[in-house]
Parts: sequence; structure tokens; C-alpha cells
Amino acid sequence: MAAVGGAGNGAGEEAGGAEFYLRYYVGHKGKFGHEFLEFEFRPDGKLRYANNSNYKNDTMIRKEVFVSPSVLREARRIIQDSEIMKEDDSNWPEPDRVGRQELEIVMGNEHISFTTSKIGSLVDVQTSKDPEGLRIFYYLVQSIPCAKLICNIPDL
Amino acid sequence: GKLCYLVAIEGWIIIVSGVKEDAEESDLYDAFAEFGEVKDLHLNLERRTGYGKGYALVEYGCFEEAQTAIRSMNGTQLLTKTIHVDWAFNRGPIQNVTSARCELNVCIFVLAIALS
Repeated sequence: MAAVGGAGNGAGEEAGGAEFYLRYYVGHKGKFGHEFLEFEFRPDGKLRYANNSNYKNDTMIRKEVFVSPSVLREARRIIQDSEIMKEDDSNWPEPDRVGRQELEIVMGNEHISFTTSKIGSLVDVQTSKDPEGLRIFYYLVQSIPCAKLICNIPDL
Repeated sequence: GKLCYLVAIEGWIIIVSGVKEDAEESDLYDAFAEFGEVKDLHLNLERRTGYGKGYALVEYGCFEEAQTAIRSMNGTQLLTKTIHVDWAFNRGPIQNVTSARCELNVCIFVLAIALS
């Protein structure tokens, strides 16, 4: 039986035959310690989620599921359509005391790693030095399939 | 010390892709309700334009209903556009061929509470 993607393909090759990795982080270090939310899609379909909110008695929530090739394919399509891979963060606001966002994506031969401050609202986007790029970033994070789902699953 | 709770949640969630951008939740609901009770439906909308991002997540209460929906609807037309329907989650990693074809769809969530 032939393996998916052909014989000899190691980890990092998903069903579509090209590398895919995505990690998003948003957080800040403040009065209550390090509060953050992070999700990560790995090439083998593993979706990891971590949410640390020190405000609620040092609660660290971790979730892990495996998404299907269909979900990864859809995530890749959305990323491709957004053209975020063509953007760059050199004119984006630097992380500050309010917070920090990180977005790292590997798609085939392309790799982006963006760092910026928290975006409170579209006003922050509009008044920045790169409203077009930041807007793409802002909307993209909300569009990834299953990312919202895993963040919203109620905990016990 | 740390307390770990292992919670098994059976959410039979399918992903519908190729959804026409002006499709509404009711269109998805009408198409998928015939296979079983739709526990949850999420049609991702581009907030800026109000148009769909092209996919929806549909949740059923049991495996058979989700499986039937996949088999019946995959490759069919919804509002004149061909949709693809598949499981949203797998039991294991993709490069493991047998788990990619696995029909079980149990989501396992690990809840870790660190006590200071």
C-alpha cells in the first residue's frame, strides 16, 4: 500500500505534498503574569492550543486534536488567497506593554514570521503605517478553520 | 502539583469546503439537516465583506449521521457550486495512512490545571 504523498516522504509532508505549518500567539505580561493564547497547526495535522490566564488562579489550558487533510487544505487556501505571504511586518507597530502578536507560517518554500503589537480594533489598523498589510493579518487570524472552534470549546 | 483531566468529547464535526461566498447558514442547514440533527453549524464569514470564506463546519450528534452526510454530499452541488465534505478531525497524524482513513472522530481534550 503506497503511503500518502508517496514513498520516502518524512514528517512535514502533508497530504497535499507540501510543507505546512502555522503558529499564532497573542499575549501580554502584566499585573497577573504572562497571559496568552496560542494555537499551532503542524504538518501532520496536529492542532495544539494553549491558553494561560493567570487571572483565574494560574490556569493553563492545553488542547490537542488532529485535524484532517481537508482542514489543512482549506487553511492553506485561505492563507494563499489572503496573500499574507507577500506582506512584511517592517512597518507594523512594535510589541509593547499592552501586548504582542506573533504569526509564523510555512507554506511550501515560503516562510513568514511576523511580530506586532495587539490590535484592539480596526482603528488601530487604519491609523498604522501599513493599514493594508495589518488588515490582512487582522482578518486572516479569524479565518483559519478549526482555530476558532478549538478556542471556543468550553472548559470544565 | 498539577491535576490533569482527560476529557473525551464526541463531536462528530465535518468540514464543508467550496461553499459559495453568498451562501447563508440556512442554505447549509437545509442541505445537511436531512442526515440528522445539526447540533452546531459554523459558517465562517469574512467580517469585512460579509461574504463567506468558503467553508463551514457542521456538527452532528452521532457518527452515522456525519458519515452519511459526508458520503451523500461530498462532490455534490450546493447553490450551483461543487462542495467537498470530509471529517474535520482525525484520530491521529496524517502521515499515518491507517489513521487518516480511520472512521472514528473522537476529540480528546486535555485540561491541565496548575495549582500554585
